[in-house]
Amino acid sequence: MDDLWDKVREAAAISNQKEMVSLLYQSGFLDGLERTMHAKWRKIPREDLDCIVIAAAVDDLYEKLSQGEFILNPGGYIYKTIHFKAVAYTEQRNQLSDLHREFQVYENFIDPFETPSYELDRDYCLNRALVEVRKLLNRLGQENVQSVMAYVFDCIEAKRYDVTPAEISGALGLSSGTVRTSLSRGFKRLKRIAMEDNLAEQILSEAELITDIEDEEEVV
Amino acid sequence: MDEKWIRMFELVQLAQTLTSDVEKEVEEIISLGQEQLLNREDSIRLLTSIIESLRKGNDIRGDTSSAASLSGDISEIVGEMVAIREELILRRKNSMINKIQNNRINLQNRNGISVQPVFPSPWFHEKEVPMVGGFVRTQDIRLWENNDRLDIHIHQFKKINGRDPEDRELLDIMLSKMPLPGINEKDEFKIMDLARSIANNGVRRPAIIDLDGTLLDGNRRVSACYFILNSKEFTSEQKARIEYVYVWQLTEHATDDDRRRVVVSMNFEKDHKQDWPEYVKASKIYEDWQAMLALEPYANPIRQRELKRELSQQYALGPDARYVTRYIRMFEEAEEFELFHIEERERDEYEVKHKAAEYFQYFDELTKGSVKSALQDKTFRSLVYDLLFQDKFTNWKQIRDLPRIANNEDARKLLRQSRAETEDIEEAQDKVVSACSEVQVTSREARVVGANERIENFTKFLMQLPIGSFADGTIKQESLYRLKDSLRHVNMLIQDHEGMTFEDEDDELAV
Repeated sequence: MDDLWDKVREAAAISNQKEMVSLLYQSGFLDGLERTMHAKWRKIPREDLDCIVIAAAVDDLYEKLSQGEFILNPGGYIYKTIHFKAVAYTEQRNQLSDLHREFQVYENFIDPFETPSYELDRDYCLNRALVEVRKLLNRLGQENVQSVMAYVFDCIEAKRYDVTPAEISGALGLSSGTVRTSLSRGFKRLKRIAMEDNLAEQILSEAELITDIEDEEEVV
Repeated sequence: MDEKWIRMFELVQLAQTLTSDVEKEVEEIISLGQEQLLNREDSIRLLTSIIESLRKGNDIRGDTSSAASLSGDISEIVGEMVAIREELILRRKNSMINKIQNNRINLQNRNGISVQPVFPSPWFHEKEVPMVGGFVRTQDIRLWENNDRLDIHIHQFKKINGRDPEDRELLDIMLSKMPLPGINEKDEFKIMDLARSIANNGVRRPAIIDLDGTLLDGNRRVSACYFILNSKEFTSEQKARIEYVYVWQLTEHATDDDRRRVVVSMNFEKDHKQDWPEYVKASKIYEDWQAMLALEPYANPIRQRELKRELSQQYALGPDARYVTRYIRMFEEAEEFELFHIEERERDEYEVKHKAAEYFQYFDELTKGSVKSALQDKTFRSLVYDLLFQDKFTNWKQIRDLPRIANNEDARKLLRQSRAETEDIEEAQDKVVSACSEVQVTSREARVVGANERIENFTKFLMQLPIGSFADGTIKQESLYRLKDSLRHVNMLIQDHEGMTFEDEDDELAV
């Protein structure tokens, strides 16, 4: 398998798209990918899955490789990219169908990815979430955990869909075991902190509401 | 939850997916793709989408050099890719056919049965797959190393030896003769029992082989045949019977999909065959046993053991007599139970027989040492038989508490109350559970009597033991290991209770 990915990287490096696609096809990777993804994302029509999701993921891989980025496992990159694209597709479809239901517009259905505002909205939400998450990083304890998580969120901001522990390990000079442990602890702690903060915020807003009511009563 | 937090959780989730290892998934995708290639039409559709997407990307990026490699008519580019692969597949297929033709195993006519197509053609997983039936020399059949049943074993073997197992080694794996870490069972695939059955009855269901003799179905049956051929347990007549076996063989027109269907159908779809209940098996054996004794009423114990061995062979239960002895013992106890209910309780014979069959496994426990002694007490036995008939025991393990219940008036009282309770079955069953708990607690109390003194004495003894006795063989190795295990257990208990180990305590003391 390593041999296949070496050849795929080489083909992309010399801008030979035809060779890259041919390699993916002759190896059976595209066949297995199509079958697996079709079974996994049954709600996405086959044509859309091929065109909007799988084909776009292959293009994404090519773009990264041709720009000189080193992707250790191109197959894994495509796999994860498809995941994100499929999630986005489903989300968008749901939003649009809600909208259509609301306005009873069923004719001239608009393709979700023909609407550039959708991508902008999604980016905007993602960036806002990134700002919030980064505020929590210094509360993750150990320095290694903080730096590993910071690296991961930098990758997300750069729209990198595949980050392997091996890559983080190389980039930060940590052992892969440390990276794995840091990732596991980081995600666990992030979720816990976010949960606690959300709760605290809710309690605070309720307390403020009560104070406001009490103040109003006093004024009255 | 606030939108902000929802987005944040989504982001963390996304990050988690992003960093997960998907190497295994990718490997699976490739092997799935190689096994189930897309057809021409689907290939063309997918490749066209990909090339269109790449071209679109090139336009957006203004990447002219990349665009050059995909210039021209899309259908021509796609057609070329598909044609290359089709040619490759054809070449591979031809070389496989040649390989198969060279290694082809030809079926033979035997015992008046000639080689001919299986009629009607068998169906496998919703598809008709033509086969030819005939005889093949057992030794020419190759065990199937890709059998999923052996998946872990084969991988383990490869890891240890750095290569695929040979046919002989595959057989050793099937016979559990290959020492592989983690396998403790003596006969993991139950080949011995199957071999005994085949030695008596022959191979009843034909194994299915590929053209080159590779097994697609019947690994256990063929392993059992190999075992028979190489074991002293079987007679030359039995060996001769399975030297050639009747098999079904795929034809040269079989596709990989046909092979897959055979495997799926034979291994995943149940044939709904149900074994006879133990009670029925035991009754057959018991019947024969009585017939044997009728012919030889004065058979001494040694002769009786021989007869039981004979019976065991007849029923494919192995060369020793223990299964037959067990069945006979259980069946005799079941008969006692039946007799009691039919004669003393005047119940319907068949209702009682059904009950005996239902609880047949319990009779195994009822005939063992201390339980059997406890049932010598007729009143207690009546009580137990009544409870068994009334479905008051919920677990065969409860039978094991009977000897202690027999000697404990409070527990016996609970059993009597259970018998008397005819309205609420759960309440009655709870009383049996309480009776068992009663004797378990009492027994626990008995076990802890004088615990401190015993520990004191033992530790004093241990500390005074000359060190040399550990080295000169006075203390046996197994005793030493048992002591080590006990100390480890004590250490664990202390840790659980105080969060402290011996080492911690030592450190603390040192400070």
